[in-house]
Amino acid sequence: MGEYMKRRSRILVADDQYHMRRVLGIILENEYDLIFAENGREALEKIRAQEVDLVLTDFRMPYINGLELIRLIQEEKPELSFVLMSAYWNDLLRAKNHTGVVYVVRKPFQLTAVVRMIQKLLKQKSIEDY
Amino acid sequence: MKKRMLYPMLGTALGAGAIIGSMLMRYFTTNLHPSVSHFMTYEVVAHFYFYVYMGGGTTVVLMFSGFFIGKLQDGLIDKNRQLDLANQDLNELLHLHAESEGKYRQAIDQASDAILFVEIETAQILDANAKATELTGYSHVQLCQRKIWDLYLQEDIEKAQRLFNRTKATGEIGREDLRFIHQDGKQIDIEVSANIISYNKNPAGGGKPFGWEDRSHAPHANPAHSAYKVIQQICRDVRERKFLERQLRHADKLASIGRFASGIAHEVGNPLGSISAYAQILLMGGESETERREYLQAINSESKRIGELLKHLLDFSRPTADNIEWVDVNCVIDQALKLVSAQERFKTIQLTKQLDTPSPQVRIVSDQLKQVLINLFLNAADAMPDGGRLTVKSDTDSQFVFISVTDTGTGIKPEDRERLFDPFFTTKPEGIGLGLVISARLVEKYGGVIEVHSDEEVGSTFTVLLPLSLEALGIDASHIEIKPEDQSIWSIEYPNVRNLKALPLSGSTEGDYENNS
Repeated sequence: MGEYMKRRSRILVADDQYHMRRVLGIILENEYDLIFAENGREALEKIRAQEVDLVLTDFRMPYINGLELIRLIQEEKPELSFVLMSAYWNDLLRAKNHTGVVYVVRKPFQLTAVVRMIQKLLKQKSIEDY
Repeated sequence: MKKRMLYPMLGTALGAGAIIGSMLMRYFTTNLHPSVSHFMTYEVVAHFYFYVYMGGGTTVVLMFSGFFIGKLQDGLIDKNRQLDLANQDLNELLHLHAESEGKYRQAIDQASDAILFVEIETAQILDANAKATELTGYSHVQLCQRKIWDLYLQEDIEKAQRLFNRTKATGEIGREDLRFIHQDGKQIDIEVSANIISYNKNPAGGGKPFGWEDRSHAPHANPAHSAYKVIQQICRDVRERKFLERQLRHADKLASIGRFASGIAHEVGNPLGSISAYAQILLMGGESETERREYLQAINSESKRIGELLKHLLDFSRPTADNIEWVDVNCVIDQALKLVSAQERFKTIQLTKQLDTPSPQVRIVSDQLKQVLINLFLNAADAMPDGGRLTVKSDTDSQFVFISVTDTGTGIKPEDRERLFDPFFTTKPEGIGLGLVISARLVEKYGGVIEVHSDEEVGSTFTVLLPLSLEALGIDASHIEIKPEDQSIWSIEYPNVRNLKALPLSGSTEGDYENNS
């Protein structure tokens, strides 16, 4: 309406489990542009190839795990937000200890909580962008 | 009358002259050098004649003879001198011996390892050093009243006897990890090396280290043995090493439990995450009938995945209740190959069989062998995503049946090799990481082993070794032969398994694998 037309935020969802990608797709596709990756290597390639606002990644994936992925990307794109998912709490603690800017989600999770977390992170980001 | 007196007088004079002469000669010769006197041979005899005139013209002659055999006497003196010298030598020797005994004592007492000398036939302790008294808590006297077995922990005695007998029989140095039981009851980890020391036994009973007779309170070896044989046991205190090893093992176990737990969390958490998410989406409502069906089907398949995992875990932890029978190895290989070769991914793989004839026979549960082989075939196929050759061989030697599965695939990375048999370790996106673990467990149960050879970019060979007969290898087969009706072992070791068994999870059938293809 004459206002600034904000482009939809783009989220990369990396998980080696089809159903996890699917459910995240179902709940996020209405509000966000989604890119999917089946493993860490594919995720890395896609993040490098195009602009992404947030990365939602599983911890345990073939080739490159979620934590390694975050480390690699943080150097290249420090402004990017990350949400790390795992079914194993120790993985998440390890990630937390490694870097403070990572948000973690333990599987199984409440979809609404994840959606709220993503909304909050992207809102922060859009404020920083102005 | 005159003439009658002449003979005795002459005899007496001669006798006296001889005595004086011989004494003079002795005087000179004794003061000569022994080497000279040695050449002088002389013999002087003195005779004393006494004529006694009896009445009636009878004459009785009494004769006394005194003689010196100079040579004889000199010989005696010489011997005496030699004895003196010998005595001196002996004293010196005793002194040296005492000195060397002192040194020997000092040396063995200062040794950082316990040293025990053990009589070879009776296993009686003959001597022990200070460290031995420290490690056992017994005094030297107490030690020498004991047999070597008395020092070991009850459970280790058999092992100790084997070492002792081996050393005794072969004469070679033997080593063994054993435990002393200290007088105060604590266990002392030691590493024992045993060797034989032989001493030539001389008639005086010498030849042993000096002082053993005085010192040891033990009855000695049978004197009939010509060589005195002793087993020397050097016992190194390895408590610290063992402690560290135990700590390491414990840490390893904890790490492995940690890996196991994380594996389970991951394997259960992921499908549970999907199930929960689909259910939440369904609860939100608003989905189409097609979507509803899709979500429910996903919930169903993810639940099955958790069930599948449980089934694998059950296989992993429970002993078999199946009957073991003689199984034709080539036949099982054929069956397993038939099951997997129908799969899509085997279309690009060339199968080669090199089977031993006549077919090797092993005592095993054939379904379990099939499970192991299918596992290896599937792994081989996964290692060759772009096709290749899979070679299956069977072979035997006097002890084992070998079944090898060789692929021309990507090989195993060196860093992955040691984790190959770790539960939940997988390099496959959809893998659970239990296939090899369960296979190895199954094979181990039959006294076998799975060997792996792998070259990156060349391929891998997994070889299953199964013993031809457990009895021949000295393996107690009693724990394996569990009859279906006798399942008491289940309730002892796995209290929960009996209940779980009621669930339709057990037994891999041919249908399972066909469904996968």
